[in-house]
Amino acid sequence: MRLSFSIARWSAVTVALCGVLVLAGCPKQDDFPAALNVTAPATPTNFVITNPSGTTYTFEWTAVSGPVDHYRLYLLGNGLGPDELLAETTLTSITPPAFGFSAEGLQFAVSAVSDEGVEGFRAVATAP
Amino acid sequence: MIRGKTLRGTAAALVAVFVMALAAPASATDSLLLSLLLPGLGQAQDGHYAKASLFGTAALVSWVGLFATQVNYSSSVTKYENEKRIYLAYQDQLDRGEVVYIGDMNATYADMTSSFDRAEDQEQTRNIFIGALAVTYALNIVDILLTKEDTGEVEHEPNVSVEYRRDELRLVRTIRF
Repeated sequence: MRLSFSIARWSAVTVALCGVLVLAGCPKQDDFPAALNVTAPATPTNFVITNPSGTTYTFEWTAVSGPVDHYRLYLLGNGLGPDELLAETTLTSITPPAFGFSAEGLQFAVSAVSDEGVEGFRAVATAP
Repeated sequence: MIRGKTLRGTAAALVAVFVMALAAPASATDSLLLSLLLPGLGQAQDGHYAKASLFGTAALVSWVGLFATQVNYSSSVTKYENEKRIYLAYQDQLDRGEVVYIGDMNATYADMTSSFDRAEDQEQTRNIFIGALAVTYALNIVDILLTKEDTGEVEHEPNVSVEYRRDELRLVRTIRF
């Protein structure tokens, strides 16, 4: 079986061109970036939740050493939903407005945020 | 992302193919061009079917492997680029005064590292198939250029000849010791 001269010639050129496009158009991973130069504050300790009355809860923790801009209090979703930011405070204790429901068994977390805006790891406690 | 260096190299290869296709003598061009199309086709045309099968199989396996690894490699690079974009965006968020959780940054950095390493490994695997394909094509072309067409004829020196002498015709048989 012999292909005609022009068909074989152009077929070979087409195959070469396709190979060129495949290899020349392929992506390439760029150089790996350096890690961001940020420092996170330490995790608050002695995080305690008390229930003085009804659906009102008080959250207290020990201050973190080092520069801290403020603290954040979360209600954790634990896979059922996203974590909800309840309050931000510069103090080491907070009593948010009454929830309107019993928070018994729910998990809360508190974290420290640095002056740069970097939030450290969260301390978790369960409401009584 | 297409690199200028790669484009120049591939453009040079394309020009070489053009020049070779135009400059090669017509008698040899058919087999050579068929082999450029797919290794083994030129050998098949010349009657060397065993070599044709060998080169054809090697080329097909290399092409399929190259295609598969290239798809995986491209996917890994895309994933890595996405993770890198997210990670570098954290610095922009901090510069804008937004709060960024250290846990998210660490998780993204770990994912980015994992994606980069996977892309590196898949690039090496892809390059192996590129090398195999290049070797197959090179050996195939060398074989085409060095091998004569198999016409099926058996060449041997005849030991019987006919001689014409004046008015007589002689049949001569030559025996060599």
